[in-house]
Amino acid sequence: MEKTLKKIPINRWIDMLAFVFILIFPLLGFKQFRVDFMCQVVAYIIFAISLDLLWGYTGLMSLGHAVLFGMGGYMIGICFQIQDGAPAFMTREGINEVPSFFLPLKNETVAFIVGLLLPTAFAVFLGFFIFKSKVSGVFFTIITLALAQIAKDFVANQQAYTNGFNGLQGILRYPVSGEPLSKIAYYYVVAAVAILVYVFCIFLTRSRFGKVAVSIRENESRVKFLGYNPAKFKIVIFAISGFLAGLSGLMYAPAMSSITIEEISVTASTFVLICIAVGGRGNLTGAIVGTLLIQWAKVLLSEQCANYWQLILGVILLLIIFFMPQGIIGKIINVQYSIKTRKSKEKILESEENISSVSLNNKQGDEEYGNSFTGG
Amino acid sequence: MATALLEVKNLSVEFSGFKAINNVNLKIEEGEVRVLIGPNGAGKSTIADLITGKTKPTAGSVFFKGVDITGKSPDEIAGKYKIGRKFQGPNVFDNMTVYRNIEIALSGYTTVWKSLFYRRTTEIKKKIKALLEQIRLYEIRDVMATELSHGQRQWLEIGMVIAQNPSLIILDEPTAGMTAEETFKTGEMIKELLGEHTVIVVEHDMDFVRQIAQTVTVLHQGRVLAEGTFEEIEKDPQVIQVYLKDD
Repeated sequence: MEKTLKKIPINRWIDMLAFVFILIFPLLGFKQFRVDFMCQVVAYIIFAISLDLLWGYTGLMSLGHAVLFGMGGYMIGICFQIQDGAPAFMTREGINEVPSFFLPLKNETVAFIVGLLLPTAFAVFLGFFIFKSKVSGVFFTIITLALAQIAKDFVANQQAYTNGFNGLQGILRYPVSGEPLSKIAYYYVVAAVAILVYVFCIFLTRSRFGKVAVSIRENESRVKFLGYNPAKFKIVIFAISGFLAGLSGLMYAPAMSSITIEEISVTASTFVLICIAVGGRGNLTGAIVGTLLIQWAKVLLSEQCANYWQLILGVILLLIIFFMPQGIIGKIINVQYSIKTRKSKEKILESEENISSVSLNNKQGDEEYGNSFTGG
Repeated sequence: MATALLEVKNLSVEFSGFKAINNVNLKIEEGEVRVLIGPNGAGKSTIADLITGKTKPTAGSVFFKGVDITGKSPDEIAGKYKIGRKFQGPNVFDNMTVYRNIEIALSGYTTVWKSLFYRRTTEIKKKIKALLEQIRLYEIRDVMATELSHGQRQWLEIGMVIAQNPSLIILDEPTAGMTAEETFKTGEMIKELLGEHTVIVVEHDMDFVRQIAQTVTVLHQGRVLAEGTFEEIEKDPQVIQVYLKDD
């Protein structure tokens, strides 16, 4: 038992601590608005995990991931807007009946499922064209940047259907038998979903599939010569990541009770990328810890110094990235790795010495061989 | 006559007007060890690229076990037709442990579905252990590949190719950049491979070739200049001229 416990990497203990903290947070006696904010942060953790799969593990940096998040949020947002016929933002534009393509969304379950499937399908569609045509690296990032911009313009221009810059309000916490869930009940629903997502991602990243993803990040062209088709793997990972991003949007919007155009923008995507970078890429823990730290730092700093909190946060982020390029958790994992492999590394040196002694003996013993490689 | 394991027919490739490979014919039988030699720019690595699908030929074709594999994608050639390749590099996964590098190369789990439900069984563990011992890296299996010495990285990649369980192994300059000691060990390692596998070795170093070669093909400026046993090649006046001129 002790041996198996020792085998668990240090960051998995940090994960457990983080989740315990999340679970007991509402019991610590903070004011309600703090608990409300924590609920949004937990929803954001799901989002950060989904992006970590794509960026941290597979090396695909997306600047448009918030669009997939927004697809989840907007589906559930529209659902609550159309409960009592066409909402004000539609009638203002002369649409007095709920458009037929919105009607199925009136049912919450349908809206929820669409909120999951739409970003997944979108990721598959986009991934198919991007990865099959061998677009990779920075070009993937540029395409996602364009996507984010197009999506934002689309939502802004389709005011009659999306309420444009005003966003969608009045999103309820999934009413069961008429009444929306209480704030505390919803908090634990989001926390439970986050833990499920985390466990799923642990399974995924520990599987051979996850290791192939890492191999693609490390050396995509080499992966092909081992018989893998990297495009297929990237499409599947993008789809899973899209699904989880949609899920996080579906969790976030009711916690916030609204979803706005800002939350699908490049800025929103970048913010999550920063959270992951600060926490550390490609280990899930970094996404969780980074999101917790940055989101809370953001809100607490802005309360303390409303005018220049961005400046302070910016400097802190720069310092962290400068001194710990692999992020906080990445740094901790590296330290643990170098302690763990200290003995093995001594063996590298030993084996190198062995090579020398073996070949020296051989030079003397087997003259023909010795000649053959010193002759060149 | 039975079909050869690999047959290259009238293969040519052009890079913006420059004929890197010009009408090359090769026939490699099952169990054979073939060495491709030639001065820099002779087209040795380009032939490896053409066989493994990295480069598409402008003319000619490649047959593997009688099947035309010309222009197929690298992952199909590696996965379906089982041609394994070691690059000139060493070309390994830097930020992954030695163990994972070998594990990811194991054949038989290359589809998305199979990779999701792959389990590291005792049998697989034994296989990987034996392989790591063969390439002398078992003791340092939990170290990241990026921390290995140049020679150890070359061995790791040779190990990855063996893990693929290929029908044909192409080793592109397996001793490039190695110290004399490392070259010696690598020679030993490759000798272990011979006999069990069909191997094509691309080499630059004539002395290394002497140790391992059965049949040698000499390339020069994209053409086959000579083919025969090492002794025949050594005495060939054309080959001597090319090598004297270039070295």
